[in-house]
Amino acid sequence: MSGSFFFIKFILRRIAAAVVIVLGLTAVLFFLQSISHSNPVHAMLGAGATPSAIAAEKVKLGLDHPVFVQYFNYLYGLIHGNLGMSYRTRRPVASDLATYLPATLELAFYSLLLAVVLGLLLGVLSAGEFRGTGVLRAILIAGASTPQFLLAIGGLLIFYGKLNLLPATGRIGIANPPSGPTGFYTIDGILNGNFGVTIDAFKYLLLPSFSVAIGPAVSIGRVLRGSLIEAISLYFVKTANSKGLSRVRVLTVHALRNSLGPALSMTGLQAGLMFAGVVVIEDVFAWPGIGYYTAQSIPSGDFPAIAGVTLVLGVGYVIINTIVDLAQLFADPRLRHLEMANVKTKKPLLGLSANQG
Amino acid sequence: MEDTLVSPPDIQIARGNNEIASVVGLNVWLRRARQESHILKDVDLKIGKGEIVALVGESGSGKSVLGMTLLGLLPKSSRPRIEGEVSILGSKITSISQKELQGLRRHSLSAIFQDPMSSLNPSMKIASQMKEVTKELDRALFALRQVAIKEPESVLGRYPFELSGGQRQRVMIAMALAKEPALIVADEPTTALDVSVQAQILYLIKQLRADFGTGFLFVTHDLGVAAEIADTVVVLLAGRVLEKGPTKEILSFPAHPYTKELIASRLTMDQDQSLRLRTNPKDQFAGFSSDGCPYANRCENALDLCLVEFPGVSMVQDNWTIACHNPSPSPKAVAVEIKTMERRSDLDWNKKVVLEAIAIEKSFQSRTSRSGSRQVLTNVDLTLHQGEVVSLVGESGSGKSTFLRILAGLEKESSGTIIRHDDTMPKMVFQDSGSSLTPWLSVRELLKEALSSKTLSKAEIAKEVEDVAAKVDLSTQVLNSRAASLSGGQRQRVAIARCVISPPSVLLCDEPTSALDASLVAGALNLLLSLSESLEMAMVFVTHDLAVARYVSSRIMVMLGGRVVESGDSNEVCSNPLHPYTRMLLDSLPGERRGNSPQEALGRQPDISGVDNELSAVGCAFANRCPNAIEICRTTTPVATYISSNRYAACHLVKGGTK
Repeated sequence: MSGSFFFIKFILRRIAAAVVIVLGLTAVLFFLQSISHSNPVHAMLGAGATPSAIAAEKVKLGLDHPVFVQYFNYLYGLIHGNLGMSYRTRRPVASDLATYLPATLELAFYSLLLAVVLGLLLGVLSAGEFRGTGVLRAILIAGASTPQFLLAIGGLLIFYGKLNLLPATGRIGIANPPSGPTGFYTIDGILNGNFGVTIDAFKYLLLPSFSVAIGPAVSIGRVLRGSLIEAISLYFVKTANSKGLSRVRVLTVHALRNSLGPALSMTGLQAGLMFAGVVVIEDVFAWPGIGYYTAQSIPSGDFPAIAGVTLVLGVGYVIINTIVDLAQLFADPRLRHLEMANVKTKKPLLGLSANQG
Repeated sequence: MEDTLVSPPDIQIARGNNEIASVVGLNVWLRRARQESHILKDVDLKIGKGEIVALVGESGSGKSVLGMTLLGLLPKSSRPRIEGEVSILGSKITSISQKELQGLRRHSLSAIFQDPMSSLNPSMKIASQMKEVTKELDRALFALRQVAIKEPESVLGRYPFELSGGQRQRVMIAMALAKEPALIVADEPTTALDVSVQAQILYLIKQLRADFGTGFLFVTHDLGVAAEIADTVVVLLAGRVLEKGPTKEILSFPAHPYTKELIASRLTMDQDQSLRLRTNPKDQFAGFSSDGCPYANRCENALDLCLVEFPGVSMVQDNWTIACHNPSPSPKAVAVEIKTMERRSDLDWNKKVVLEAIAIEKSFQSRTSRSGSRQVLTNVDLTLHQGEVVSLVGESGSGKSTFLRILAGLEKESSGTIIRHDDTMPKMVFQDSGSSLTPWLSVRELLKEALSSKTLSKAEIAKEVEDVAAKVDLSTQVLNSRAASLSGGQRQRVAIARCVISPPSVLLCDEPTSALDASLVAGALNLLLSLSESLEMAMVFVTHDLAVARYVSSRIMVMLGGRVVESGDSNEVCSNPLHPYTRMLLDSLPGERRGNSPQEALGRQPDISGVDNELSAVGCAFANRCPNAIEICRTTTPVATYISSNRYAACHLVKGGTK
């Protein structure tokens, strides 16, 4: 069975899926734009613009064409790596995204990491009935049942307002932070030997990423707990116990690996939802990411900017789910076997989750 | 009849000395459904070096709990409370620390569980799982060779799902053996296996205990298996030991009324087909009395005393004890004679045909093979006459259930024709009837629901429900209770009632008794047969148990690899099998002494070369395993050879004509 052949096919399928998603998303966006009453040119030129000036600008932007033609022009640009010009900033959308995206990615990355770690802890500890799990569960579930913005504002009031332990807004408090190579301050700080930047960046990250992560953490933890408890009652775990293995080994090596499937699916799902959460949280913390960028683009009808952000989120969603699916394949050899067989028999495969039953 | 249960005289192990495990006055309470229930009561037990002790009992008797107690593995979630003494190799496992218990399990205790599909970790290669028991690869390989695994090196590199059920159970046994434990707790280790594989595994276990002197606590519900393998039998009911002693003696001359019932209710190859099966004349669904003897409610010998006081242990012979106030008058082990059940074979052919299946083929889209499809049924014919009972027997994967599902219309045949000579669709009774009933509906609602296609008034519906309840012997109390609160036997009755409330001309039964306790099987079979007679309903009976097939049906069709390899009158198929595969199935029946002399029985050594159920891809599917296979068997698929008008076998070695 050739593994590399299988993985190449797998990745190609995912790229194909991403193309379909991009086409669908942009089509929906163009449709919405065509039925909306927003007039970006008006916003661009100001209230006093003459009708002739507006018409000229429309021609310049290609907005005089029928919506189908506009759509194909956009797609043509897209193929050539051109996301268009932002009406508001008057800069290429691609370079705007390059400015704002790293901040969002950094926040999303640490939020997801935190959600997974907390979820794992919650799941394993509560399934293993270790001491003190009840307290952790109570705190996390209380956190998860609070709306995100409230959590964020509450966190600000306590840790910034009362205790003054953490900063309130922005991404970093140090002037002229390193501007590369990754765009993650926490990593760039280390790479540039400036650990102060890393520490400061973490301080700024703490509140927003907690606010984003708690909900997903509880979802992941609950699913994991359920499948762990189920796994513990299965015979292969009894077999492992009958071998005289330690409790921790039985729980991690035998039970955990076989219960990861549902938790991983949940992680993929939550990662998608998390972007929505990040947009709100960025607003509360004035985090200079794409959420913030979007919030400013929408009122001015900055269509290329909105479309660019949407595309990035759509592709990001595909990438995250691909990673989750690969992780599931890694965790479950039976699934791997089944998937390889599917590729061989040329059976259409739309996502792995359909085959899990 | 009782004679057939006696195991062939094999290696006798001295009992009593070299004790490796002892249980004295053991009481176990577990929390179930928010209540603490007393699962094991005053259990005493000893296991000697190299001794196989069979723990026999119905579901809920606490036999698995006893096994888990010996392993120190009672589930924490059920808050176990243990009183009494359990010692293994001299250490009292109830009072030692978790660490010491783990050490004991690491070095001297092993377990084999029922389902080989679920008792190995699905995401770990066999090598890693073996390594947790023995660090040295040599020992792992040695253990795998001991259990007759073919190509052990390649098996080590595979995942459990890449092995067959038989191979997995062998790996499980190898893993249990690799540390050379003093005691192995085997919890129904062969129940999920085909009879042919079961025979191999039982033989293997007997050999291993002779070679290594390992003691076994062998938990089973099957007296035949116990007869085949055990030195000592312990009969457990509702957590109480009712009888305990040497296998041969107990199974030949059971002393306790409950043991007698267990043995009498066992369906054997000698069962007279013209008689109804013997059932317990008292209510077979009666619960256990909690204070006195748990069997008192069902016992024909019961005294008033039995209901209030559990009897003390009395000695029958050396090492043979029973707990019974009134063992002497033996229950009449005579079947109740009935006149309505006639022999059918010559009579049925004149009755009208209700269902015909002609040249049925079925292939499934395969997910794992390159060719893309898997042939499950090839050219299967069946003509079913009114009131006739036909059994389909064969190992798992033989296609018998698929064929049944096609007859029921639940699955579409790939080619072939099904002719239903009548408007009603066949109905189906499933193996796990419990899960086919909606738990929160009452039995009355469930039965009404089965009628809803008809246009009837409310009063008529109520009457139909009462009628069918009377037919299948369900009390008003049962009618009003919810499906979830019924016992297994009652649920099976409700499932049958749902099928016959508007009687179909054909009833299809998929292993309807294999999930039932032995004491309930007879009642269920009697019910199905009497319904078939009174309603002139034809039945197709899928079963893996040839004794059941022989008793219920007039005709048996033996299936292998999706083909019918033998068909004929049930008595003839069982007494004079034509196909070597049928012979092998018959020889594998546990607790049945085939062959004429004890020597022959003793010499019966199943093939343990590890071939398992592998089917030959070309030629006769049985060629790999067939002792008589000749050249042509491996190249050409045999066609049906008729030795009489309704008796044929698909075997190159059978002489006869075509149809």
